[in-house]
Amino acid sequence: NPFAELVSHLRASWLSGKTRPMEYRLAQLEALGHFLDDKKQQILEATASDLGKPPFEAELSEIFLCKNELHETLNNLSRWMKDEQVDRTLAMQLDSAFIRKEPYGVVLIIAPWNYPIHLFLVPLIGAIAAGNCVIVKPSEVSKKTERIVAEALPSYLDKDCFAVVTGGVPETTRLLENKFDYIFFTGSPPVGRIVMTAAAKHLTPVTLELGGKNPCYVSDTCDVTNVARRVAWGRFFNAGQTCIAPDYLLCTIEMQEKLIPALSKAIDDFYGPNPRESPDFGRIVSDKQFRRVQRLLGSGRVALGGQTDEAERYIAPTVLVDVQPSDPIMQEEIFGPILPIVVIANMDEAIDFINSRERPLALYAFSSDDKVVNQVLERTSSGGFCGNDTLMHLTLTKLPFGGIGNSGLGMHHGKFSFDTFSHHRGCLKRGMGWEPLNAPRYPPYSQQKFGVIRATAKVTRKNDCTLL
Amino acid sequence: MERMQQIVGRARAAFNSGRSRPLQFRIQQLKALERMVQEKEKEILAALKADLNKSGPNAYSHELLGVLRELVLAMEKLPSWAAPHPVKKDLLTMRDKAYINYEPLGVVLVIGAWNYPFVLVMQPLIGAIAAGNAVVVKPSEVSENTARLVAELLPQYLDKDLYTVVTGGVPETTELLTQRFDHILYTGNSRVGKIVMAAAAKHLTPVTLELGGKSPCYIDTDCDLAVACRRITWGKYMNCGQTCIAPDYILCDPSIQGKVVENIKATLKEFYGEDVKSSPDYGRIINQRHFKRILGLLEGQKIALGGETDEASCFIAPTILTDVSPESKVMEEEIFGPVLPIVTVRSVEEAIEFINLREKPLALYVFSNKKQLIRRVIAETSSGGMTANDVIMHAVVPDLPFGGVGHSGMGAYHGKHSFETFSHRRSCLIKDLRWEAVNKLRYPPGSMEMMHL
Repeated sequence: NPFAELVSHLRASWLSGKTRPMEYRLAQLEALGHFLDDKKQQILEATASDLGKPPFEAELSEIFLCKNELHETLNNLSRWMKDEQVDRTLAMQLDSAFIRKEPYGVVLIIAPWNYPIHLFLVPLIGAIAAGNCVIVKPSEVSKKTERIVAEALPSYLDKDCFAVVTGGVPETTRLLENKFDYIFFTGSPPVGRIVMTAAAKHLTPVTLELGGKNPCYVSDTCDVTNVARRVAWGRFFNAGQTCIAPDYLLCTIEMQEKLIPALSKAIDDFYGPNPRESPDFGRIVSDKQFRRVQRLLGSGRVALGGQTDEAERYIAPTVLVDVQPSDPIMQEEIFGPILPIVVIANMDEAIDFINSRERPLALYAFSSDDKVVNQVLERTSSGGFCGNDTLMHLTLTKLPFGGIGNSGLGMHHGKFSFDTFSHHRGCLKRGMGWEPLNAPRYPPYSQQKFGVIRATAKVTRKNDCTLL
Repeated sequence: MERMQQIVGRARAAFNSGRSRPLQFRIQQLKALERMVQEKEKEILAALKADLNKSGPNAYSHELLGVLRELVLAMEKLPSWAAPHPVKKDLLTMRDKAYINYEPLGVVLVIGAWNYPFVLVMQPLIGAIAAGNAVVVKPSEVSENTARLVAELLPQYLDKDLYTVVTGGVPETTELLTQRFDHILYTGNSRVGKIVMAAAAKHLTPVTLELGGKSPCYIDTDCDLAVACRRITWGKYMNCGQTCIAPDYILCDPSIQGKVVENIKATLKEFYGEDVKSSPDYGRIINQRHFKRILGLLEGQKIALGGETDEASCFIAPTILTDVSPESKVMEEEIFGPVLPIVTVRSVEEAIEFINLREKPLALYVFSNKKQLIRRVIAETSSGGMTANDVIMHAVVPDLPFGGVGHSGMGAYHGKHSFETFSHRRSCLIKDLRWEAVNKLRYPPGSMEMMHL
């Protein structure tokens, strides 16, 4: 077991208790902030090299959003760490009942390549804030970023408590043989299953941030220009390699006819007449992914875009029409800059279509009619939901971010990260006095004693008529 | 296989119909459950007596009371639990609606245990119903009378398609676990917990595992020993030691070991009289297999008190073992019986170290007059839950989450925590289609000015 020594070293540090004091956690978190500041330029360059990530996007997702999480955590940590007092029954008025937030121990964070800093750093903030030791396993696919994380990050953090492990599938498989006290995984559902199965061997709790096909319903009553811009932005950001990107669009044929020119204008506004030359449009991360996405272009008919360049791993912002539910592009999460439009007759059909498929990580509905947005929300299920925009629900640190069903289990962001990486321990402190009060619970049991228990321990319904 | 598929399929179809979602419906089902517990009290108590030899007031107090209380709490609080929770917005989302919507997960599987066979299926069931789910209940086949009764009663009071009871043993449960659920709550042992989680992993089903372990009980030299021992005696020997949060073993200084034994002995007489075997309030071991298992733990041990057994009636007297070696068999597995080993330690540091070298327990107990010592034990150990200066009671506080950590489990329930466990917290952000100008800042062509806003 090549990682046994590392894990046991971290576990020893954990048992020493050094990660528990608030001052320690704050210091490590501040250090993460310095990492982001000092290495910003390198991160921008690395992600540009790995993914063709436009500097604007990289600064937004890899630095800005991470710092938001960091500040939210630094601002609130002392409050989050406090014991949560809870209500007591009549019989326990003299006692102290509270929920203590405790670290789990040694946490493993496995991150993917599409937002290679953000997707390990945001959970790492939560894990450190909660007082754990952490092993970070960044993605080997985003190679240059992986190197920064492996070489630079450890020097900012306490090496006894935080480590970076690099490698591919074989290394990750060996790593998962070890016992961790929590595993946080971001990636695809099939690998999520493997991670959870490995976790089961040690009864390790997990959070799985997975994916799926995020539907985007556009009703007939809407401002087409604005819809097109918001959808295009969400779809083509990071060249479509976003777990909450709108994956496919559902609308009527009439709306489709209006949307195509609007989408065309939006793409032109954003990336110019030749997106390949725009510094603001990304690339596909690897040859393997490029070929996978390129194959999906065969579904339906290209209405916009469709151009590709293998050398650059460039796929143009593309819209496909005449797409059938049985087409290849509708069978897997696209994770590329292609937006298929599936025509439906009305909202009910759209809802039925969505509900006949796996529950997605995100769900979008566009309409100037509030009722339509609410209907879609109420009659579907998804990790998160955004009405009349895409991606934005992720930017609020007060909203939990997580999937449901195939798109994941558990959640994080802001306080939810802290809570995810904490064990919530129910604690009751009693006094040794007042022992006679306990008498009714002891044997020998009797109906009379029982009556006393019932009176002091029960929860009454308001408006309960005692005469009946 | 087909049968399980049909059962789960029917529950899923019933869930998809949407009828379990309106709060009115859920409250109505909970009210029906309340009626069931009140109307069928006699039958339920009879089943518990047949399965575990639990006496009336005892069974009522440990099983039915908790269920009724949970029902009242759920019915009272459901509107506030289920209401959308608005969240604080930032500058960019000022004009929008941002909130967390609590939604049902779908079809929940509840697998019960035999030691508190009624409450351990009912309490999760209440939470799952309150959260708007369909539920398949699999009571433990070991407590067969309660299982049969639950299977008979639930369909008489609840929506038959949404809430089903499946009975059976290991083969049936294994089959059931191949089906896809949206949450599984399992109460039982760690070994089976791993099997349940592995099965759940195939479908990416979230799980709550209420497992067990050896719940330590540290008695400081500075404490009211008589009171401490009375409380410990109560918690240890209730249900004949078959309680997941019973104090499993005692850690104390050798100088008070003798007094601990004396005090417990005196308390036992108070509780169960001179002849424990004839007390209506003292239970029995659930079956021969467990009887033999516990008997095996006594081998080679110094029996300070008790040790009498009667195989025919699965009776094991309240027993205390002294000067127990940490390496002995009785210190390796959860005892789940009326045998209390005492392991001597010379300081609280030693006790803490002893506890931390072992798997994290479901419960942890510490008795001391010193507030600082208690604070230290809590801070330097980890466990599912804990009580200071008493045992069991943290599980009775409705607002405390009840669950394990590490080998003792994952997730929690009881009260509001049940509702949250069986709900999906869906983030919702509702924007307006107007005000597009604000969005210009985020669109390409990228401008670094936006970053610095």
